[in-house]
Amino acid sequence: MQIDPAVRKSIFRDVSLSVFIYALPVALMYLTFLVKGYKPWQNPLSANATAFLHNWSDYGISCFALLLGVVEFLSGLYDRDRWDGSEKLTDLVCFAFPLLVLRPFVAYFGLKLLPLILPGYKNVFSWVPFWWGLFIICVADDLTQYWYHRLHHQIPWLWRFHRTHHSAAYMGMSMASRQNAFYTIFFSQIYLTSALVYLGLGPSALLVQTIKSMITTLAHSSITWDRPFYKYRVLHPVAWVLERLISTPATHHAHHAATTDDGVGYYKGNFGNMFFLWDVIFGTGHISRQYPPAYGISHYEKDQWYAQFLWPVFKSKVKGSELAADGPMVRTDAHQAPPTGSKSSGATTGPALGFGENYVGS
Amino acid sequence: MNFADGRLLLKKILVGIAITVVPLGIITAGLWSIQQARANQPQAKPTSSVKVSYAN
Repeated sequence: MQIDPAVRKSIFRDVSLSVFIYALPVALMYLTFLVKGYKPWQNPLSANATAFLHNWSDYGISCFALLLGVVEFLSGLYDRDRWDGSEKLTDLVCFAFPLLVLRPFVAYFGLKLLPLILPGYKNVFSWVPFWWGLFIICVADDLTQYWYHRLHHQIPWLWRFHRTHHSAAYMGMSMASRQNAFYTIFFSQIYLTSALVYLGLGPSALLVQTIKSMITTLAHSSITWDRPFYKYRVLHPVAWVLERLISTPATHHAHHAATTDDGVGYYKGNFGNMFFLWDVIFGTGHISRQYPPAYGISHYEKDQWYAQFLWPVFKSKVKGSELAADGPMVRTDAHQAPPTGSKSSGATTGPALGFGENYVGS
Repeated sequence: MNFADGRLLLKKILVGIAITVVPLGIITAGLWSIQQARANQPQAKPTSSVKVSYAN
């Protein structure tokens, strides 16, 4: 299966633009230094502020996510029909994996491997002022995640590594970290930010991670915090800015919609994680101020948790599944081409999540 | 997991490395250039060598 020529063209065009965007914060910082005659001498954050950020980034975000989960649970999101044994196991394993495996691995990467790869470069850029560091990491980290995410949707052979995140028929904090292990472990922006921390931008990275975790967790949550901004006219100007700047439940729920043809769902775009601005710049965004009626993948038939978590090491036993040993790379719309011998789970409705109408199962 | 799966995984890792290394290269090159420009700037001399002291 090949990438659609139009998609390929847009990727090359947007990658070229991204090179400029990556360089923009550094260029602006330099221009500011020149204009103001300011010399970037070290401007460290106070030890207390750094310690606070460190603690909040380590424990605060996990506690925040768990608290959100409790609120969602109490509001009835996790009922037995929607969150059965297999789904529960998939969500819980995927939630635990980053905490128990990824974090120690990234710590090892930052503390042991980077000094071997870049010896003598530790803290070489610690002179970068805190707020400029924040700007640099915001762009670097989130634009990289945008590309990582977008390519997993637009390059057919990458899709199955990201499919687990879209197979949930519900939105909630429990599915925010629901990812295939290989998708999670090779998250590009984690290693990019780790390298920038090693080079001296640590305090800025802590604040970015804190803000980003909150925005992305809330964008996945079933609690639609942005609803009042669309309801009350007086708040519309704020909504206009917010929905173009950051990921909101409305825009990110649209990305997880089961259908893209109803004017609300838009799984072919809205790839931004912390910032929605990338979707606005690259023309991959869709803003409707509404929430999709159904989420997930139309042809999803509850693949086993181990296949969802560790594909391609373990394969799904569901016949015709994209994760099965003989399954298609990208499966066609359930309504257009129902696979022979498959049963409908009834979990979701609408077309398959994929790459547009040009793609059919391989 | 067969050979094709291993090759797929390898391709995915290479894409990931490219996505990481390109922005890292752009940013470090930019910061390095600023640092070099700063290092090559002549040290600003004091405007006056006359010591001023204020008597109480």
